[in-house]
Amino acid sequence: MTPTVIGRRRALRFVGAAMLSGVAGSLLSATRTRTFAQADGAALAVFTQVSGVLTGKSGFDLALAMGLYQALRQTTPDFDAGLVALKVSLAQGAGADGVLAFDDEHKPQGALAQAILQAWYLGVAGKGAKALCVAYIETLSNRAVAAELVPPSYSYGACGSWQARP
Amino acid sequence: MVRPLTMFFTRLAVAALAALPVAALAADDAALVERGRYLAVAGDCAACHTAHGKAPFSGGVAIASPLGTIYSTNITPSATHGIGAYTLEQFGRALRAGVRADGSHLYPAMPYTAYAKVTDADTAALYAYFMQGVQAVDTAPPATSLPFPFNVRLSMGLWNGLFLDTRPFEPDPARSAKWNRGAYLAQGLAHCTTCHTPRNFLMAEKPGLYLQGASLGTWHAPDITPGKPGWDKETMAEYLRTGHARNGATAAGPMREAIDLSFSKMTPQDIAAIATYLDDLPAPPRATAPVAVAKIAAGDVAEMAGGVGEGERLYRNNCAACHQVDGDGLRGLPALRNHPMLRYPNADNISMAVLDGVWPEHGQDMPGFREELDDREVAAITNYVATTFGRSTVVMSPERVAVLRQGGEASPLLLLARVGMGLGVGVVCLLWWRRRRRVR
Amino acid sequence: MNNTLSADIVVIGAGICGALLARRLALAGHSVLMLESGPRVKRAELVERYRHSPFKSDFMAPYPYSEKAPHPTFTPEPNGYIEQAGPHPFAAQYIRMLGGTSWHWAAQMWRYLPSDFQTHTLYGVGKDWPLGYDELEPYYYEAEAITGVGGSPDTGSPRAKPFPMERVPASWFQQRVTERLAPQFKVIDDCTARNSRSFDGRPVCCGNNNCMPVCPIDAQYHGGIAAASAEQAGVQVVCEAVVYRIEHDAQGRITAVHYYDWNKTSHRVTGKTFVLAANAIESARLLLMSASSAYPTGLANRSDMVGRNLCDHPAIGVTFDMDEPVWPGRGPVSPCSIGQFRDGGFRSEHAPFRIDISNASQVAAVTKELIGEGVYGVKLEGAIRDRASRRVSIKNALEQLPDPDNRVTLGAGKDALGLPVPRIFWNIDDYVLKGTEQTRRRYDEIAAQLGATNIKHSKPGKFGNRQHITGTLSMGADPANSVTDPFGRAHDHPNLYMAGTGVMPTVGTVNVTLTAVALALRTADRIAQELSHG
Repeated sequence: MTPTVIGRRRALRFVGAAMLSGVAGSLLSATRTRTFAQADGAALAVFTQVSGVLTGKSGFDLALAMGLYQALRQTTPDFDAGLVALKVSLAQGAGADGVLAFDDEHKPQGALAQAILQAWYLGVAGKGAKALCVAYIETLSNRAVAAELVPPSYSYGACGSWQARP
Repeated sequence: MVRPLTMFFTRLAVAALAALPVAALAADDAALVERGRYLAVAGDCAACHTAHGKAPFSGGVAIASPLGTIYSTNITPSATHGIGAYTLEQFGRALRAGVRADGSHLYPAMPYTAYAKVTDADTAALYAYFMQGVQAVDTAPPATSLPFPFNVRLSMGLWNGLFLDTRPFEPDPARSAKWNRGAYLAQGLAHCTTCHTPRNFLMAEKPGLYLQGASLGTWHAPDITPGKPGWDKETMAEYLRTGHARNGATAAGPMREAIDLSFSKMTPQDIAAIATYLDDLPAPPRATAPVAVAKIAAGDVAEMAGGVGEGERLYRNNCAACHQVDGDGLRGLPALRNHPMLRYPNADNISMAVLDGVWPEHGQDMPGFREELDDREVAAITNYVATTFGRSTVVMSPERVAVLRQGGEASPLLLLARVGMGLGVGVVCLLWWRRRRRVR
Repeated sequence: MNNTLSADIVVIGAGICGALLARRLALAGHSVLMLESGPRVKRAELVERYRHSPFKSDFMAPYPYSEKAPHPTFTPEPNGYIEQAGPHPFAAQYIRMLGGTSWHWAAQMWRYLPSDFQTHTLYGVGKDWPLGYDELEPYYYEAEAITGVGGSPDTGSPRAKPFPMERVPASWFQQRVTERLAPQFKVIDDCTARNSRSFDGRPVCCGNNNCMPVCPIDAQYHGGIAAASAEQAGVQVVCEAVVYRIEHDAQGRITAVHYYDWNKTSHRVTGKTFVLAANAIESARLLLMSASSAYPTGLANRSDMVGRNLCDHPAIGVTFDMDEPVWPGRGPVSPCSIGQFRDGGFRSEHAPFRIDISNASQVAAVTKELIGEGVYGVKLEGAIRDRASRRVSIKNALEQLPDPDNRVTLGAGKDALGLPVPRIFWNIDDYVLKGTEQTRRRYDEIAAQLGATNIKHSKPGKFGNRQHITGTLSMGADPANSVTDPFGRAHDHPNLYMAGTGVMPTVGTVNVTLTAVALALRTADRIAQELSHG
């Protein structure tokens, strides 16, 4: 493989970022945000409902939800249709006792569930050359440990503050 | 230059006095020397007279003044290069009137205008410390040579005549001992007014604006009169003792140094006294307290999408690692949100911290970004910090950053003095020529 | 062709060794020019690229990839810049950029042990160095003083002076692991160039836990700082200058180097003395590319040793969950290790090794793991907290013996400038394999002592690269089987010197940068000596 593979990956990232910035640009304006939500309200509602089941959380930050939704739509073929199917599977009990279990027939929904969890918990949508980083500080995994740790690249505290028992 | 005749008689007097034996060191003298050591800390003599890495009090610190660089002198008891030949009286005159043993004047970079308040007893203690408690060092620091006419030290005699108040400190019987102690220290050895009182164009303090804040050319020394939101007596004392306070204040620049070398080493009683005095001063009418900035919900979705402005982007990539995206700092790393410096009348200190960093003697430091960021970037970060974390309306421009970066603006005094002298010479010539014409 | 640049000393490669050598010579008053194939990049940009990357566990991701100065990359897939010819892929990671590869390290700055210099005499394996520990000791200290190194005194490397820097305080994680593993295992502080006080105009560490891939505040030393200090000392630096040929005269003296700028315009640079410091792989590549009719196997290669004896520290790892919450991720990433298996009579039988205990945050790793296991809902957050607080990640550094068949040659492919890519043959021998058996036993003992569950060893037969790349420009007393003399001067070319890890004949049991820097400072002194006599 030649180095041009990297060029393509980077280009895709920039395209993704440009598309997202289009979204983010509208995110920053409350009026336009409402318009966006109204236009795709149904699809976003399914996403937040499914996300609620998968993460066990409610009351998602709107900017984060929309950013992840848009990125997942971009990196996952037929995302909206897949969401609907996943919603049905979850309602039928595809996950008991906190562990998802999908039979062979529903494997794609299992993959979709993991993709959505990866998005919320790690801030990354998609895999490989298409992967997009949507968020970092406010990912659910960083939020989960925020009392004891900081996301790497942010300081923990003054030198030596890590000596004490957390 | 100084009149030769005066110099001759002064030198004669010095030689005569030097012939007298110095009193032998008695047991009480040890206590006097120790008291002098403490007073030297209160007066922060080391800040100017001890160069980094050099022997204590051997001088050579370059003090940037608007007129040029002034080098501090060797005040160790060296007979050849220091003040070893000074009598107590000569020491007192230098300390409190700005006059050297040879009769020449000191520049008010030496805050003798404040030290004028020091009592005779304390002067004697300081003298004992500098003569017996300090190691003599026989090295000469660089000589100061300011541009003409400020190299004519006689000009300081004129200035002193206009502006020097030689009255020693008079305690106020109507006030408590604590207040008087605080007043004595603040007005005298701690010389707060030297930095915190604005000056007129001849560089003399404006008494009507006592301690109401002044620019030092780069760093801004804020208004320290009472009634500022977030400041009370206890907070001020905490700040002086440690360099930080419960209202989020963190000392930087010259005040950081003053706290490290002086205030942090004074007794809690003396610090409380200074705070008591400051808390009791007349204060200008204050505008209503500014609204505090509420906690910011920090995220980076917009950042990832390239949707943040330049100032914010620079802040996130250069500053947020320690100060955090929400500006609240963490575990000893200071918060910027609602930091008292964001309420100053200018943004100079924000930019100075960004350029030079903050380097306390102990504890966590902040690097400077002088090499990494250009003037435009420093201004952008400054404005982002001021508006986002302080809701401040002051604006920093790249042009002002450039001035700060080079150490401040050049003073108009030099040009004024030279123009003034030129005009004066011109007038004299004109009068003489006219007189000649009349005579003919 | 442009023909404008010239200096007394021309240094090829602006990594930590090239830059500190250049700086030393500039401070001594010489004119020095340093050519760097890659770009100049600001730290703030690297921090941003890290945070925005979807591949946060790839330490190369924050670094810009330059088509004209290519280096291996790994995400989303490997770019295959290096052709792999051997049974084990040599997954080299290096950065072609001003400052070089040490931009993304954990600042580990260890001295070799005295016995590391004479493994052949003592244990009958490997090679003896053409100099001993005592000769290098003063340079070790100078390198430590420049970079601000602190560490445990119990390393087995004797010191004439104490460390110039105090150690960074140990995190709770390190304290607990140390207590629980004692007395059978002695966990010591790593020797690192990390500020525990303000030093060199740089701040104290405040626990960003991001040493690899980039320290956001420069509390740790790295090649970018070295390059900046070289410029401050008066070294002229030219970036985006890809040297592709070293030119010599009929007597074998180096007369010039030729470089392409990124517009593929060729430039010729002349000088009196030339120093090749472009890392162990690219330097060998350049010497081979410079083959001429007089030197058909490449320059400095009469011995046929250029590119050979390639060594790294093959590594195997283990992860497990300790029986108490200790919260790795607070403080520096590589703070401590176990050194008691670095030396001993066993070295004649199997590879010695050092065991590194990681303090990197495990949050992302355990999150991926749990999602992969299907955990979801309210259970997921608690599971992340539980595993992230107890996850211990350990890896080692095994000493590989120099084997002339492990080598860098020129590949068939060409990069964007039309230059042949590197090709590497790498194999792992029984010496290392026996060492890994020993390592696994220690790992199991360590896990047991920490009450571990969920123990996962790395795949048998699979090795990671530690990026401690040595041997390709080995120094030696005998020109028949070495590339440079004991001072780094090419046997075949009197005014060509080499600096960097490539000149090291063996890879030892510790990270190699301090030794390479010490040697580079020594080489600089030798060059200065030669110039003052010549």
